[in-house]
Amino acid sequence: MLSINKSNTPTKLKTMTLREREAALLKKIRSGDKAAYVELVTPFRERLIRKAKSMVKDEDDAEDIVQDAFISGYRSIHKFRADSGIYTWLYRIVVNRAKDLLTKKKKNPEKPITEQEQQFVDERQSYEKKLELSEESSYLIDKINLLDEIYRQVIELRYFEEMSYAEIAQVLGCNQGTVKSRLFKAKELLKQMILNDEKGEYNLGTK
Amino acid sequence: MMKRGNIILGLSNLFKWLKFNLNEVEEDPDDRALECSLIRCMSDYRRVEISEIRISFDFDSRLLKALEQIEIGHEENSSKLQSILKSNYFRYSLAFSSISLLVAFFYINLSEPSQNNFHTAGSINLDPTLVQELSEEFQLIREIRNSDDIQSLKKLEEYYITHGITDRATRIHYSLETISSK
Repeated sequence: MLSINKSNTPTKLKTMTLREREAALLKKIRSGDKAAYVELVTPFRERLIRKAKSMVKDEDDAEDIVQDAFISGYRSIHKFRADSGIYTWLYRIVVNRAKDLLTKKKKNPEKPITEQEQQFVDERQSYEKKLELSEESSYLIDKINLLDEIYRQVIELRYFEEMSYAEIAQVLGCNQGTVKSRLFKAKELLKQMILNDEKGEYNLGTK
Repeated sequence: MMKRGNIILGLSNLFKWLKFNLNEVEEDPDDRALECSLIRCMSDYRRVEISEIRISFDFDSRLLKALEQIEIGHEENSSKLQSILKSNYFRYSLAFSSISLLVAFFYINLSEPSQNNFHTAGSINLDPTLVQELSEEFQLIREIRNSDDIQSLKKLEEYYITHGITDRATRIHYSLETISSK
């Protein structure tokens, strides 16, 4: 039976950069160390479940998606190229799986939820979250939500997921130039919305 | 008057975009304030979102149990692989993908021949990157259909892996393993 003993993580691994650590673990995984794979993916569990949940709107489904994505990732790990980060790679698998599930659910709805009910649930959850956020964050998130999907996406990947331009380009399947111009446009739109708003200056902290 | 205003606004945005892409350091204070706000906001939002996630206590043990069934490089290759090849499911799915892509490709090109960068079909706006991806996938599938070349199949497997479509990549991998074992 496999087990993960985090305290056994060699000191050398702890002092490595993230990429070096990934490379070292990948080497172990390719030689058959399954616990090393779990060690590799564990830091990403919560963030990936959050992403899946934001798409499928169900925490249990989200957890299953991430579990499946990890298994599927392990199957293809021998082909993983270290030029893209593990997180970016798993993120793409999770997004694809979530899309597949949404398509399946559309075709075979188990418990049909009306649009009104869904909107009510979304609004309640969004309200509860806002209570926990600072006034500035809550204000800015409202503005981001007004942007078109392509601009929201780049903002989320850049600032929430903290991905590089290259990683965003990989996730979106476009070139870095496109990422930069979308991000630029997204920020210009945000700035205009905020500056047109009386509260803008205060909320941006430029008073 | 309105038109001139739009042109000036457009030029000003173009100038800012060029500055941004050429990494010029001179930054608008509003841009800097927005950048800082976005970083603070998303860090705050991430904290709230992640704190809400509850993972099942047996998540890791379920994962390990599932991994135990898998051997890297020899993934359940015997029965599953044989059934895939015998049933011709793989070939049919390739044929289906290629037909779908062919239809999509021609539909996109015929619907708006004058625009190379942004395709419009009725009210649907197609992202040029999506068109590029579909063309790439279609090209790889066409190569396989035109020549029984293993390299083309490997290229398609790579394509699916890099795009996170692991199910198809795994199916192709099974086929390649069988071909090489013959």
